[in-house]
Amino acid sequence: MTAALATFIAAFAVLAVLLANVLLFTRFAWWIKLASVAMVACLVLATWRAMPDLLGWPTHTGMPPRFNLNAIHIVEPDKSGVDKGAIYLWITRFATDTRGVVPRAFVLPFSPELQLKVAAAGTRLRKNLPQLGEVVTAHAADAHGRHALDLEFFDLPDPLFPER
Amino acid sequence: MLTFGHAAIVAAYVVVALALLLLSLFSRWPWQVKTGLVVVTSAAYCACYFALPALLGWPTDRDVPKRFNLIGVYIQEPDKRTGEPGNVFFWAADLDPDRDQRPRAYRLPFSLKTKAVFQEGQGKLRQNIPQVGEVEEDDEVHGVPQDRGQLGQKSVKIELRDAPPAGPPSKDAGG
Repeated sequence: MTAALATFIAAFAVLAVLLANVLLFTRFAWWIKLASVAMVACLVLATWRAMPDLLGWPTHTGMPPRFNLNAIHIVEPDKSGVDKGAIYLWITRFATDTRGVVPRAFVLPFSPELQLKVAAAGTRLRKNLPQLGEVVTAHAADAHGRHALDLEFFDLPDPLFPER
Repeated sequence: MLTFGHAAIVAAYVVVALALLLLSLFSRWPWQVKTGLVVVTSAAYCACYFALPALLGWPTDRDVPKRFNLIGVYIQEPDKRTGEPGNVFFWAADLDPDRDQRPRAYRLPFSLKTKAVFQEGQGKLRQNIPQVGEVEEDDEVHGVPQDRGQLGQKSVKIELRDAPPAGPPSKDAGG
């Protein structure tokens, strides 16, 4: 997320350079220059305020290779074929030290095979068996840019009872 | 669905394109400078486009829906050693049929009361009892927020209830 914010700040910097060029090196009327400053200031503020509007929704990229499964949500395709369905996963990256770990939501294209695996993992999760997920293979992206992934889920050993 | 966030970012792109067009048409810079500006701006466009998915998926601390279907809970206790104040994360789908039905991740500041509400909800979810959340805006001021970035955030009171059982299909529906 920090890299994304840095990119946006860089884009704002490019915008500021363009604006400075308009102000310093053109012979536009003063009111055009004033309007440019006002417009860019409004846009920077609007974009900044709009960022939280983008947060929270699931992403289709950047799934960690190993993760802890927190929750699942499966939308099956409808019979008309308009809604192709989706598999949503809420996960945290696999870490021994979970301090500061923030869960992230992902969406994957629906497939019956993945549905079976994810639904089984969800059932085990509800039985208080923590699930470790692993990305086995990643396929090419579909028309919406969503990557079909092959996932495997395993029961996480209880840390209170180390194996002998 | 086009949200305010998407619209604002698209508008920002359009304004940059307009500014670039004005500079290219009416300035007396050499063509190399104009070409350089077009290349830099196009690169900034591409960078923003590819950076957007990196922002997605992370929880938001705004716009908790009035009624929602709770899907998951993740509680982060405060850490006395590092001074981290803790968070209660939850994943929920809006029950308003006119709004986006995809699940969205939310973050609330940690408090013992919020933790208790969501821990109970999590326990019931594990027993296969679907949970419906309802939000009431809480106008009471509960001190100064520890995180100054949350100054614009209204405190909300959330209650979780067992979802009402799905009724039998209506006789009017279908044949």
